[in-house]
Amino acid sequence: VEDLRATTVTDDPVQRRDLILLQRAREGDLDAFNDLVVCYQDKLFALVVRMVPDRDQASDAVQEAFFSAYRNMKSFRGGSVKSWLSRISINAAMDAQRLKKRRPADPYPELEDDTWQPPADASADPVTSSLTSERHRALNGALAQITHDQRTAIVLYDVEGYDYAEIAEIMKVSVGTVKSRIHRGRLALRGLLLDRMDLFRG
Amino acid sequence: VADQGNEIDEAVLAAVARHALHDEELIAAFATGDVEADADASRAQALIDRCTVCRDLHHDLVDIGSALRAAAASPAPAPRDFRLSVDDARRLGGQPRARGFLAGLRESIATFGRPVGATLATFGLVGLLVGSATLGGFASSSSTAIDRGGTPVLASAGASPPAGGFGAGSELTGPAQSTDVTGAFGPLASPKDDVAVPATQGNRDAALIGPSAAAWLLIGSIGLLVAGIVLVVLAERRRPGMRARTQDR
Repeated sequence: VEDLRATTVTDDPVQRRDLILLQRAREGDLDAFNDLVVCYQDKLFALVVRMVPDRDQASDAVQEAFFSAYRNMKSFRGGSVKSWLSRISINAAMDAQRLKKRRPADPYPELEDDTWQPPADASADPVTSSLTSERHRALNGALAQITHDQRTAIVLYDVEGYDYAEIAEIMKVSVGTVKSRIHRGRLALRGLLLDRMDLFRG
Repeated sequence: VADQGNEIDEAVLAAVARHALHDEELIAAFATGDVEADADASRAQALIDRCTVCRDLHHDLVDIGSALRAAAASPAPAPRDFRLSVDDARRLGGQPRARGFLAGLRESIATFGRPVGATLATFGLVGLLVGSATLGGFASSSSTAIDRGGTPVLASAGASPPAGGFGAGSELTGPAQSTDVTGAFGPLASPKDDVAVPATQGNRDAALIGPSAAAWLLIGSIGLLVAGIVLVVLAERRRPGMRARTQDR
């Protein structure tokens, strides 16, 4: 097993920590792998639940992603552990979406799901906090209703900050298709949010 | 009034009817900043300038884009713990081991290495000073006794260093008169404690500690000092990972 720390020089302390933990996990230290899980489970769940708005399905996809990461950690060849885990989670989310596509009986329940709201900014006044929560809920509800291809492209581009080429590689489509999905997805979101656009202005 | 209302409705309807022929995807691309050709950009800008529906659409798409980017800052907490059990790991083909002795040692070094290492190094340094002082005192008291031919040697606490008298000859003062080397750690003797100690007494004390014991003390102290420094260096090398993990949590 090649030493990840030796092959990857980085000044980022988080990345160094990740590489140390992954190296130990590759040497058989399950606790080190679980430390990585604890570090990233919230971030990855947030990513996956935007792509797969059913929270139970999203949980299953994240669990599957960590299983897959554990299974394939010996094939990690350096770079950012966070990106590597994100890619695996995106693939797991896309698999979950394909499964949902084959069995579309149940619509995504996210519209009614108020179990979690973003934490209020301590400095924000109650009106602003309430507005932020409402905006978040409306946006998630609309995202849950557009097609999963459009949702994936929008989440990866707007929320996760991937560029078009990376999204094209992840989704295995052309860059033009990615752009088209993002534009059409935004138009669809606007159509769904037309009555509530006052939430998003200024 | 009814006519005015009808005129407004007709204007809105006319605007909507005109807009039906406009390219909304072009406006969406323009709002995302994806229109590269100048001709397309000009066409999109013309639509936004002339058509109120296109203008509203453009504003709304920009606002939605901003809201989507803002959503990235609000991660949802995971509803359950995704950590793998030993059974999961075995099922997935791994050969997990519980955190063993070596891993525990590594973790302990990262956590306690610095204070323990610093303490060891301090003891080593103190031992080194005491050992060298003892050897020096032994040599000087012997030579003084020889030089003065049995004349009493005045060992003054005022002449000894303030840190408890590690200087040459200090082991002959006040509490340091005991045969135990640790007597050198005793309180400072006051000037009135100045005692004229016969050289024969000093020789007897130094002989009880003995040059070989002092040499062993020196060797042990060097060992402690080296071990302490190594421990501190190891702890420093392991700290970035630990620190980052703590920060991230």
